[in-house]
Amino acid sequence: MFVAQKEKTPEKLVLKQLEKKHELKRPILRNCIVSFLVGGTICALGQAISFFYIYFFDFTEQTSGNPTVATLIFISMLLTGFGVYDRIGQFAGAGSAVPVTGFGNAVISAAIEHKTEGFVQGVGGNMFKMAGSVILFGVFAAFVVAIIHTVIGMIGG
Amino acid sequence: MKKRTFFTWLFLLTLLLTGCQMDHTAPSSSTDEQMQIIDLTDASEKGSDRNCERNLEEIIQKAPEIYDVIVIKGNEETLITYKVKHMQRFRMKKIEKELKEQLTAAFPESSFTVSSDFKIYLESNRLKRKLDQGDLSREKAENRLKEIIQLSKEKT
Repeated sequence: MFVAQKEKTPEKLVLKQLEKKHELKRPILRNCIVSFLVGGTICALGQAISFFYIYFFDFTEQTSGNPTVATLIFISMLLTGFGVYDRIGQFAGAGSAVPVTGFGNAVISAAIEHKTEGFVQGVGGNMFKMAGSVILFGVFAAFVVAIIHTVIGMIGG
Repeated sequence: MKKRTFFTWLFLLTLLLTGCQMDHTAPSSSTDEQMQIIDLTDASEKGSDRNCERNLEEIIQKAPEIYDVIVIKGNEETLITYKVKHMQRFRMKKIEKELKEQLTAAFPESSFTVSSDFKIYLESNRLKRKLDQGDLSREKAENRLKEIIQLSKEKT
């Protein structure tokens, strides 16, 4: 009885064949390559900004990370506001979402989306609905890593 | 259309692969050729201690992972800054620690600041250039050295 339920009816089989015939193939390889190239370009831009801070200001390799990240997020926020980052996102997929610029995009796009609901309830309440989880898990992961690092340091590793 | 896409991808792939290729034709620079020693100590005005410098050179040459070394000897502290070969950058902290240990063992009376940070290298190079051009007095250079050492200790 149970086996009979799992068997597909001839109609379902025909439908499946039809679905297979018309289904658009996901261009996985293309997506991977485009993501790699666009993500790499964003990282190269980040490296250039980092060198800018090192060369013209008193930032070392170690301390230039903070202003670099802030600049990248600011640029992506501006681009999101102008509607450019959405197009980059559609073209590059994960290549534009995974770098830190994706964080700025997530904040601003949510703010724009909920603007009509009011400044406090709409923008303020929904601005971090996506980025909030990133911050939460980021801080928590940093906390756990710091504890592990401290414990290993105390043991003498 | 498909042909065009194929050639576009082929071009991008070729660009990517050739970009990653290392330049084997470039002459390998030995540490000896690239090492620059600047002596800002008061003793250097009377005549530099060649023996001490040779010892320093020998220790630095024992580390094949580093190149473009700049040594600035100040009255209180000596700054050693260098670049690390690309594939050895994962071991940067270990190289720094080992070099500092060797130097402290060889010159127990001196204090050393060892850094592979690009900013420190850049500022040391700028200081050297200014000294070579005669734009900086020894006293000002000593103060600048202290500032660079302070900068190398900054964490945030």
